[in-house]
This record gives sequence, C-alpha cells and structure tokens, in this order.
Amino acid sequence: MRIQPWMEIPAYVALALVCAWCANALAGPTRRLSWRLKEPARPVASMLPALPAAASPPLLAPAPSASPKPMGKVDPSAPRSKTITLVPAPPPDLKAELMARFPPLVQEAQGAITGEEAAWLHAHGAVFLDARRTALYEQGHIPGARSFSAWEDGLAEKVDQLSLFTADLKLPIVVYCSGGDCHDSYLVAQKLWLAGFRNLRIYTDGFPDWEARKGPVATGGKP
Amino acid sequence: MKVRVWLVHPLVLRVSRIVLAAVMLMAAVPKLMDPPGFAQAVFAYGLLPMALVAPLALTLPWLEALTALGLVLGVARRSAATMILFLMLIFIGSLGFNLVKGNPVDCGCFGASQVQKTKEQRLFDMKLAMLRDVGLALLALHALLAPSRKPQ
Repeated sequence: MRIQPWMEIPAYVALALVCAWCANALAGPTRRLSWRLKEPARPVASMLPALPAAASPPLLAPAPSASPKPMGKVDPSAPRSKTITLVPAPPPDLKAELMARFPPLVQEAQGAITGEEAAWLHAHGAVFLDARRTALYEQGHIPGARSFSAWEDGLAEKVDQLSLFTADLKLPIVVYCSGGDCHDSYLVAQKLWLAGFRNLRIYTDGFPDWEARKGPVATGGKP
Repeated sequence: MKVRVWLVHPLVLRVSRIVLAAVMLMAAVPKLMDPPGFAQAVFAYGLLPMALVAPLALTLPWLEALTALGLVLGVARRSAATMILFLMLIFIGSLGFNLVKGNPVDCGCFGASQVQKTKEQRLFDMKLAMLRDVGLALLALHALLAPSRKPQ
C-alpha cells in the first residue's frame, strides 16, 4: 500500500503518539509523565467522611486501617499507601504554637514564607513537601520532607493519600522547590488546596536558601 | 547561478540532511529520556493550557526523532522536512514571544538544563537558540529544494 503524500504528516504525528504512549507506559516512575496533568474535577476533601477528631490528632493517622473508609477510588489498603511514612505528631503545645503563628489561610490559597520562618516551622514539626524532581530530592532535601515532585507521575495519588491520612488539614504545610523562578511548589500547593488543605506555605527561596542558611540536609530517597 | 547549482548538488543536499537530522536527534534523545523535565520546560513557556503540556512533552521528542530518521533514511522525506520546518517556526515563535515578554525561560531544546542560570544568561541563551532554530529552518528549507522523485 502506498501512502499518499498528504497522509505522510498525519502518519508521522500518529506514529509519534503511539511511540510516546508505549515509551511512557514502559518508563520508570520518576521518568513517567501523567498524560493528564489537569487536576481531576473532584474535591477530594469533601468526599471524606468526618475527619478523626482525637484530642491530640496526629498529623497522619497511625495506620491506614485507623482512618475512616474513604469513598471514591482511593483505597488505603492498596500497596501504594506505603509510600506515605508516618511523621511524629506535634505535641499539643507545639501545635498550638504552629496554629498561633501560622493560622489557616482564608483569603488566599497559599502564603509565602521566608527561610527563617521555614526553619521555625521545621523545628516545630510542620510537614514539609519537596516539589523538585526525585533525582534532586535524593541528592539532598530538608530532613523529614516528602518527595512530591510536581511533574512526575503519581502526584495525584500522593496528594490523595496525604489528605486521607492527615488528621487536621488546617495545620501548616510547607512546600518548596529550587527558589528563583521555580513554579513547582505553587503547582503542588494548588493541588493540595483543591484536596482541601487550607494552610499552605510556599518557601519561595527554596532549597538553595536552606543550604545557604546551613540548615540540616538529608540525602537519599527517604524523608 | 552557480550557487543554485551547488545548492542542489546531491552531495551537498545529503550532508545538509545528515547535519539537520543529527541535530534533531541530539535534541530529541535527552527529552525522550526525561519527559517530566521537558514538561516542566514547556510549562515555563506559558503558551499552552495545562491539559496540553503533557501530551506535547511526550509526543514532540518522538516527532523530532522520527522526522530526523525519515529525513536520512528517505522515508517521506519532503513531509519530514516540512514537519521540521513547521516545528522550527513554532520554536522560534515561542522563544520570540517570551523574549518580547521579557520572560527568561530555560530553552529545553536539548533537555532540561541542570545548571541554575541568571535571568540575563537565560535571555542571552534564548537569542542564541532562536538563531540556531533559524539555521535549522534554513536547512529544512534546503532539504525541500531537493527535486522530488516522481513515481515513473
């Protein structure tokens, strides 16, 4: 069969699409890109039944089975839920301090913080999320920060899990990337906001500033 | 007149096609190896809605690689050259748009840059990238000059 000249360009595009689909399906998790980067139009937080209201709610519920059974697609018993590791719950006095200095945001989706404020939040046990690429995260990250790469596949699942296992969506969460004109932390914060988090703080100067301030640095794939 | 004869010389056409295809492949491979990094670069251009960033970042490098192969192997050669010309015009337009806006983007042409650059460095690199794309567009035009082989 001979391809007509006018069909050649569409054929190139179609072949490129097929190759892209196959290559992406075979790629490893840090090299895979989600075809649909647009947020799913479902408010994750509102799908949840009442959040566990303990006297001193831990930042993350101790075990998936202890959290309320979620509706929708997210299944806490699925193996991927193991990607969320537990963080020590802040004691009530620290939590009160956190909430006093960084109350939930009402007017805007996220607020910018300085390096000094980030260090204070780190010392007071706030959750830190690293929006950079996994390779950079492994080279060095703020101790305790979880890898929430804005561009790699699986971010939506990580956000879903964090919202499922976070007892209080109003506790401050710090998102950072590489500083400068890096937008990745805003992209992650936007997704978290849609998932119901209401106290998102962007460490705008990001990891280069943290290193310049001689903050502690952890390496490897674990928080 | 001599230049015209020289331009359509089969050997000159072949060398020009090989150079163009080599540059296209060199540009495609790092992007194929790291689609999330390229998506990040595409997003920074601020020209596409979020829903189109990933499909473009995944497909464009393959389109570059396939047209480069088509060009050297002689598979739908004129269409491959036309596609490359079209891509170059889009790249020049996207870089020009951001240069006019004064938005220093990381080109992303040869994959994501690993080095942190200053705003001035990036703007300068964008101008260089535009010049390079103009050169590649001329090479693609040159490939189109080749007499098409009509089926006998």
